[in-house]
Amino acid sequence: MLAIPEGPFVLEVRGGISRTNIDGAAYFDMEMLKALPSARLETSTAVTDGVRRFGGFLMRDLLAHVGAHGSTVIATALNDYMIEIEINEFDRYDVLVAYEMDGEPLLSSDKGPLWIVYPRDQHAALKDIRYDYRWVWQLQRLDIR
Amino acid sequence: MNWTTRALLGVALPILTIAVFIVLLAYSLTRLSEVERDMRIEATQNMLWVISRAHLASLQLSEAAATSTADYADQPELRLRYNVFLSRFSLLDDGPQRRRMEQLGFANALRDFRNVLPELAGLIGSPEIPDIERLHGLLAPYNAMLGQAANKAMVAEWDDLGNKLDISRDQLWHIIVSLAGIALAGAALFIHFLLAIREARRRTRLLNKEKAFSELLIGSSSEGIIAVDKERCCTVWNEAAERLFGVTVDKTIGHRLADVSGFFQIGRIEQAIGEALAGQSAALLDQPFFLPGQSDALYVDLRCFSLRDGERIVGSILLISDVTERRAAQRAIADHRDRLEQLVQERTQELDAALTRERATAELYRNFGTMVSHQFRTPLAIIDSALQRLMRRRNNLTPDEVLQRGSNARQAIERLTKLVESTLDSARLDAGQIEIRIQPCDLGQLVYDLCLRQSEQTPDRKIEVIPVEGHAAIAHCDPVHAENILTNLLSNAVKYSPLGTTIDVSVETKNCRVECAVSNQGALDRQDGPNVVFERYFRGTNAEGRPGIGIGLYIARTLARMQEGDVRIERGEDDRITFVLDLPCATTVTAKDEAPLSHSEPA
Repeated sequence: MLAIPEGPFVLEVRGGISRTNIDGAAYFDMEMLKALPSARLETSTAVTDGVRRFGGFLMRDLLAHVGAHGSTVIATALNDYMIEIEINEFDRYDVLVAYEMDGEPLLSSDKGPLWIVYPRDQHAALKDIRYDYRWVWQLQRLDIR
Repeated sequence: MNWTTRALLGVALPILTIAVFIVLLAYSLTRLSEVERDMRIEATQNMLWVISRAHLASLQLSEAAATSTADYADQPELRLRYNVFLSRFSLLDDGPQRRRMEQLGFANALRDFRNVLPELAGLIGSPEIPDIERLHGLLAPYNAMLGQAANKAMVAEWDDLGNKLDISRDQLWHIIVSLAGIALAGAALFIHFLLAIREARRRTRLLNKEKAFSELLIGSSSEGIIAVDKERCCTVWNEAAERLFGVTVDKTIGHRLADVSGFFQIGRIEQAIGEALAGQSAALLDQPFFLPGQSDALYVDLRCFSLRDGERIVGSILLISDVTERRAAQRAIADHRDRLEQLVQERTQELDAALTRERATAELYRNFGTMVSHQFRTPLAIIDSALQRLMRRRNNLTPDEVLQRGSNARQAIERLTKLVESTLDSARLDAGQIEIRIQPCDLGQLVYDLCLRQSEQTPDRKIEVIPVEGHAAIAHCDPVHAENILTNLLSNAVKYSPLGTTIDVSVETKNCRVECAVSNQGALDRQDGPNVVFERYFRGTNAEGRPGIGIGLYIARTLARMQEGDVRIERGEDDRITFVLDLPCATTVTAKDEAPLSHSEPA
């Protein structure tokens, strides 16, 4: 049983999870997300110039936190952009869910509050258009199937 | 096809082909890597999607704003759509997307819209119902720009894609041509390789044929051919060598030469092989060589040469020929030559002797002629003169005078007769018609009798006989011939010694010989040597005016020698000349020798 978030909801996790807090889903405010083990990553992106410093948590830590059990994660953005990602991809790569870029919090009016960031510079295989579309920004929901 | 062309085709062409092959391969790889690189698709090439999402967000914002006027409770929905709108705009206005928009010609439009954003934020952020007309008015040029941008982006992307495909097609075409070139070069190399293999096989066949021919040559050579390596182990041993050494090839190849035959253990043979291994040819001729179990030596000529592989000496080759027969033939020729030389020498000696004899004969006849002209003419002149006187004074000659003249003529005739007899004696002697009857003869008594007779004939000359000492001197000779000899010696002594001088005659026996010496005062010609007096028809200077034909001493010596004796001349100190008759003593003669002997002298 997860704690009830006190602040505004930032992320909603549904589907095959064992830990929930409201209505069979796991809702997180920013405080709860920042409580997860923090991680850092420096990489270039497909849509910005130069190398950016990202701060956040690893996707697999979050999935472990909610006791996710499934094969696929469906990530949905604020504009209803939906992408299916193989869940074991998060074990293979240190995929970050960033809430900071270059020390500044990501804003909802830009790529925030959460942005799925792949270690693009660390793995050549990730410099591919088929990975570029998985960089979901303005992330608001994850469905575990 | 000359050497240069062949070298060009054999070496330069394959190298050129390989170079072409490599260049084409490198070119293809470069092209392929370019294609690989170009096959990456950047996110910015997805501008149509970015623009369409921004357009959608803008439209959704307008819709949310319209909805909010009816139901103000949808304020969070408006904020969400506003955030999405802002997010989409910032994506469009950032990094590569912005540069792309500027390329498409919307830099000013973007800047203009960026300037209206604060007013838009003010409209959305106010707690009152937003001015929808104003909001639409603000968003309308943005939406119009996005519509045009989508249009241009689509055209640009398709143009890009078309160009990219053109480039890729070009690159692929280049690659195909290169690959065709590579295939051609490969085919050329393959053909060259096949030809090279065929040529190599042909050469190998040729080499094998030549090798077989060489082996046939070595095998059929009548000369022994042996090859050794640096360790003197045998590598070639031909059939002639097998016959010569009596060792079959299977017992020699790989074995050391010294172990194969003792011949190769001989110091000078080993040295010759060593010289050949050191790079100097060596030849040993007429080397004796004994086969095991045979006592007769074979003779061989050995020649050693270096075997070279380029500059390096890899062994030695030995040529051995059996020269035994040649050597024997040479020896036979040498023997034959020696025999011929000996024969020639003998014949030369015989011819010399014959020549000498011929010269002597010529000399003889010349002397005979001289003698005849002197000795025969004188008595004839005496006879002629006596007869002339008789005829001229035939009327007034007394009988005594006639008698005197007649006896003079007769004496001259007697001398002539004697001369003829002496000449005939000499001829008989030469013809071997003189018979010798050997018997014991008291030489002392004979000498005494002869001296007595001589004294009666020439009473004016004093002859002194020295008596024999001791036993009688019994010689072993023919008494008649001994008497002739001694008479001759005595008459010579009387004839050639000055008047008033004595003639000494002695007989003595010594060392089984009987010697009778007749000695008289006189001189000899110095120039010709004493023995010249024994030559036929020799007349010394003191013989002038004295009768004789110069044949007495010759006959005397010849007769003496026919009886195992001799006549020799000895000259004394006080101008005395002594002729000695030397005969064997009778006491040493056995009964067998008493038989009559017949001597004959060669002509």
